[in-house]
Amino acid sequence: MSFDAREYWQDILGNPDKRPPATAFVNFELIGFDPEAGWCEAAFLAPSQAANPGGNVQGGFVTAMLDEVMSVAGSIVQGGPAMSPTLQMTTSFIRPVPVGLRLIGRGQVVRRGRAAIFTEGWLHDEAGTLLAQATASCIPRAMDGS
Amino acid sequence: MAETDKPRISDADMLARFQGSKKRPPCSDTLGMTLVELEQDAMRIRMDFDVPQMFANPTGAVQGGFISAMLDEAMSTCVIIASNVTMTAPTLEMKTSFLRRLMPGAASVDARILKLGRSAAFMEAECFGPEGELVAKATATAIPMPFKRLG
Repeated sequence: MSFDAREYWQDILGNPDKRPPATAFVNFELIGFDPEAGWCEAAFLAPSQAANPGGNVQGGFVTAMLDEVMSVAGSIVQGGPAMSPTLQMTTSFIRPVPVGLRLIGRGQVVRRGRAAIFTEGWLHDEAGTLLAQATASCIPRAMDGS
Repeated sequence: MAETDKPRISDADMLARFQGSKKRPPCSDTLGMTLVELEQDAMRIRMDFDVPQMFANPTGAVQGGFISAMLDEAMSTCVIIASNVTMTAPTLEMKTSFLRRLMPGAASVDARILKLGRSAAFMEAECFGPEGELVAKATATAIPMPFKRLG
């Protein structure tokens, strides 16, 4: 039985119509991914509904964008249809994140263990300035392939 | 508690002031937030949320980042209230543990300040599901700064 990870995930991640609500809310747009190396890159755009009193993106919504790419990275390394529910995540808010600006997020698997997967994530603006970074631990969870 | 010259008002008046605020930030409305309790001396608050379906992940549960958003909302508001609306505190770092799934709908958050210093604030918060079950717990650090636009 062969599983074509690239085809399977491209179909799920690359189709805007298949985005779950949370993914659509932060305007996830796939840039690229690599199931072997365990990374995923996507562009984001935070809607004005995510603004804090200062007019920037409220921290939790920044965490939500990072959680998207980090969870994808943790899912695609598992060798089949899978999820990676986050157990714990730490986000550092390095600079204010503007609302309505195109952002680039990257999630990367640090270690893929049998019982735990460790990931890191970064959020930049298009000029490459680092805005936020995160680390997380999650659990591998295979899904029924259908 | 932060020392300021600004006269204090009662907990009930402070709660009424926040509940009647016309200047809520967009994120508060997006999260369906209502401030329901506050204790200025104890530096704690409680918020209710009505989490919209648009925060669901592929399993239908609330994506973790949006749970972090509720916790962040409560911890940040706690600093504003504990400082008698003289300070805001942009979050530097926040860690969330996700203990259980939360489905869209009713949720609540209890937040408190561990220390409100001149150069740093330490906060913690718990998120509860509709049956009162502990869904997530967070800790955060922030830098208190003078508040420009009064709530």
